Amino acid sequence: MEAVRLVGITKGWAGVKAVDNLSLSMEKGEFITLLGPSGCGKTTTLRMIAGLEDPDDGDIYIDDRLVFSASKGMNVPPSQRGLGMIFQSYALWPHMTVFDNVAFGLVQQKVPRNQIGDRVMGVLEQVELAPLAQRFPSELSGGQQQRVAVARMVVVSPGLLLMDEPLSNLDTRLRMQMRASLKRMHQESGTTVIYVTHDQEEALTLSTRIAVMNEGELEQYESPEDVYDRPATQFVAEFTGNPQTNLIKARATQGTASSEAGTDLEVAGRVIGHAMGSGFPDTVVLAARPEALILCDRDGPGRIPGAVYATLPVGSSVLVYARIGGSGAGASASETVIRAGRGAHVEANQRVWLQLDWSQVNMYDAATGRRLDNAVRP
Amino acid sequence: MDGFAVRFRKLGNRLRRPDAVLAWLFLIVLAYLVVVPLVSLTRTTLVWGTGDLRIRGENVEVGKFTLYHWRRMISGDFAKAVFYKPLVNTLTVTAGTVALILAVGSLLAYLVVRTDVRWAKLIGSLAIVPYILPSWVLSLAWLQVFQNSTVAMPEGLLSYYTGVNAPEWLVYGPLPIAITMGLHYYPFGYLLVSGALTSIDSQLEESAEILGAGKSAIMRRITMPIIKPALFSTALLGIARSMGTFGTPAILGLPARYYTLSTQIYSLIRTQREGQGYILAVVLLLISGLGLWANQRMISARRSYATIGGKGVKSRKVRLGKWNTPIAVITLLFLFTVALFPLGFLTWSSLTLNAGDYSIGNLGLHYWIGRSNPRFAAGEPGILRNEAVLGAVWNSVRLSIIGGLLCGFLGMLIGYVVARARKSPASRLLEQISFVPMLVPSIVFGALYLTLFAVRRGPVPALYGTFALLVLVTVVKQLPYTVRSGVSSMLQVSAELEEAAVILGAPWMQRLRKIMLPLTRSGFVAGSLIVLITSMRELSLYILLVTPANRVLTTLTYRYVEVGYTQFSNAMTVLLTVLVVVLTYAINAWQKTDLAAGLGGR
Repeated sequence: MEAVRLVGITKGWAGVKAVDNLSLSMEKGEFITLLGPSGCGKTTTLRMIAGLEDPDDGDIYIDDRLVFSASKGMNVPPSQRGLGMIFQSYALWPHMTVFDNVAFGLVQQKVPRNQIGDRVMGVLEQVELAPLAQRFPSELSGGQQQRVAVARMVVVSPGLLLMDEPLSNLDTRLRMQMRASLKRMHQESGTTVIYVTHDQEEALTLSTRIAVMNEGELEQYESPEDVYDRPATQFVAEFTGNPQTNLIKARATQGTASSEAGTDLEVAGRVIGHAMGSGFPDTVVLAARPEALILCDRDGPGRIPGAVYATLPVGSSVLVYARIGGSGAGASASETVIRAGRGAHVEANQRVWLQLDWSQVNMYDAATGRRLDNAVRP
Repeated sequence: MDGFAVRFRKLGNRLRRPDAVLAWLFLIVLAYLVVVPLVSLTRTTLVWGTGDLRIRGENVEVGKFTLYHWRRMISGDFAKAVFYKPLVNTLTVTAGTVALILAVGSLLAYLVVRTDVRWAKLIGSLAIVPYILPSWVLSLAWLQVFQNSTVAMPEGLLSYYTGVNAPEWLVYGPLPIAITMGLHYYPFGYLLVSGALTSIDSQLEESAEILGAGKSAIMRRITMPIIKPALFSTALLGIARSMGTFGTPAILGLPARYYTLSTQIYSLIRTQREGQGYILAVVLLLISGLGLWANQRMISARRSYATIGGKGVKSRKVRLGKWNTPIAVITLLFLFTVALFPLGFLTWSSLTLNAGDYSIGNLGLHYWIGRSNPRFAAGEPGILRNEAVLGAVWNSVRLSIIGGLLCGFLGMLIGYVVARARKSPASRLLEQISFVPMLVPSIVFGALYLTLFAVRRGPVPALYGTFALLVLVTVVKQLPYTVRSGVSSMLQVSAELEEAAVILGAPWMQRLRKIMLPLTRSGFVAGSLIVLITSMRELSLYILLVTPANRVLTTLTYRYVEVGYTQFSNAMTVLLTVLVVVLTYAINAWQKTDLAAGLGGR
């Protein structure tokens, strides 16, 4: 059964399209993350599912029920869509106590007074805030406020829970803890969750599937592993990198050797690999995460020469920043980052050679940004 | 799918959005209350009126088109006397008033905000006192200090004690009018400028200092440009207020036959020359419109400065050193003279049985609590025994409370609509229209409502002579203040707070009642309070609209001024002030609010 289905959703303001012809469906019980940079349309999408924003075009189904249709003029109000939403600012009402904040939804549902108390306290116990029920939001810490925001929506037991960057206002430590408790809550309740974030790490750790969005369009919609290992587009590869994904431009030239050699991939004037298959674009981009580059201290076949710019030890490993392809007039230097073992001993300005681990490298058409699935051999 | 059904459903969806519905509703109502009167006013200048029938006799068909009024007001001796001369007088007085507002307002603001002057707190709170007083307090006091036998009887304080006879130019005319009006209106200049000064981070000035700028260069190139928008707003508001003020030029001008546009409008309308009186109103409006246009041109600049404000502003105070105490003493003396002395003096004067005799033996409470006695004021009983006065007190209190609450509530609603639908053209138009009354001079506004509600128009009944009209005119005229406080307090409440309630199923009325209004209560109270104080001591707005049946305190006070019952008008003024102060403090104590914030619109 589908929890949510979006069909051709489009929304724009003053001629700028925030969301463009987006179609997406989510199974019941999933934890879906809408991931993308700010302005990519992810929050707008979430708000359209909630009913806080009306699409210009398209249909929205929740639990197989049509809740919005531009062509049929259907628009079910937010409160009748059976969902809860947690806002980035938490949106706790500052003039009400924690108890009253959580009780609000039940009062609206006209739940009998004697049941309200029990249910509110039950939920507050779950989020370990029962002793603070009579406090006001301003008397709570950021993490506690976040939990009240969760409790307020969970208490009405919605089938679908929408979260708009709920952890972005917390410090790093607290954010990690809250991630764990959100994941646990999701596993225990079985509620479908749609989660908006620009933090790729959050998306990778929490989701069952990630929808990566860019400029109002869907770039990729797959499991976290697929998104990380096999980004569908150059944009996804770049966006999911941490600290950053190396994007190395390569010239593709028809192989000089036998036809089986395929197309030569040329970086900084030397051939570093051969792509199989035909119909190749002139320029491709090789996306390699820092751990997909091997640092060598001598030249060899398929290696790219470079010079160390800076080294940054990060505890468990060392990030080595190196410039490649800078030699020779007219050639532009590009910066790469390599994750080297802790013991790696390199210094600034030292000459190094980079070897690609082809199993971890993805290749993209430089013009369209789409992934090329041709096999490459060294 | 049936196209009609879809369209019908879409309309239903739109109607579910209360901000959109309210925006259009308010637009229509305000268009009627603000725009239609302007048209109707102009129309009156182009047709024969009932008064003309009596004055001109034959050849007059009431309601028929004529350029007679305009011809008479543009050229000839009549035009010279009733139009050009009052126009020049108005411009003279306004220029003087605005200069005084700017000078006093910004000096005080600079002293309190940017220097380490002694007793800054006391100075700051005394500085806004004149704003709470009725506008004519100063002029009444002025008159009773400088009046003397060479000008008119009875004798004033100065001549009573020193025998010095003040020359006429000091007693009546442009100089005293400009001085008393400027000293009454400077507090909003003070508030606006001190708001701007507070928002300047002194790091801005320190950076300039480190880069080698001298004190005057810093003032000229950093400080002044930043507070320029505030100075400009002050000047503009000063022009609008002082041009439309009636009380002061009536008290200090009319006895010497010195007319300004506002007093001239009054006298023309009183003698049933509406057609000509409204031409003056149109002229006043045009001048204000010019101000609006200038303001619009400034506004883009002002917006860009607004970002300077915010939290954590560091401010370094200028040291006054050995001049500190003398400056503080002089400032306090000035404030006592302007803010406290006039009221004290009026109280004293209301206790003198025969005007102009300040000896102990002449003191008495007759004008406050005395029974009717033919020896004094043609047998008029003391004000606390006087039914007309008590009726007016009741009307004033009722009017200011009802008007304040209504206007405050409407301001919050409009603020809500404007804040929610910030981008929609309807809400932008709504915000602009609701600000128009600020630039319409009070006396003109009264004239507008006189024409609009004199007769029944379609479903709108004739309201002239009713209490409801006074409420209506109060609400619409003061709307700019409450809309301003409504918009800013609604903008402070994040939309997510309301959306959370939407998700949880609260309908609009409940959201308003349980979330939005409680969170913006202080804005509502501050807005209502401003309206309450303003309408309590407002004369110009009501002077054309009251009838003997619905007199308010201010208009009754002016009646006493007109017939020369000095002690009565003094006593009434004191009573009025006491009422305003008591009401203000009562509300302040009941609902903690920052009056200064409301006045300055911060």
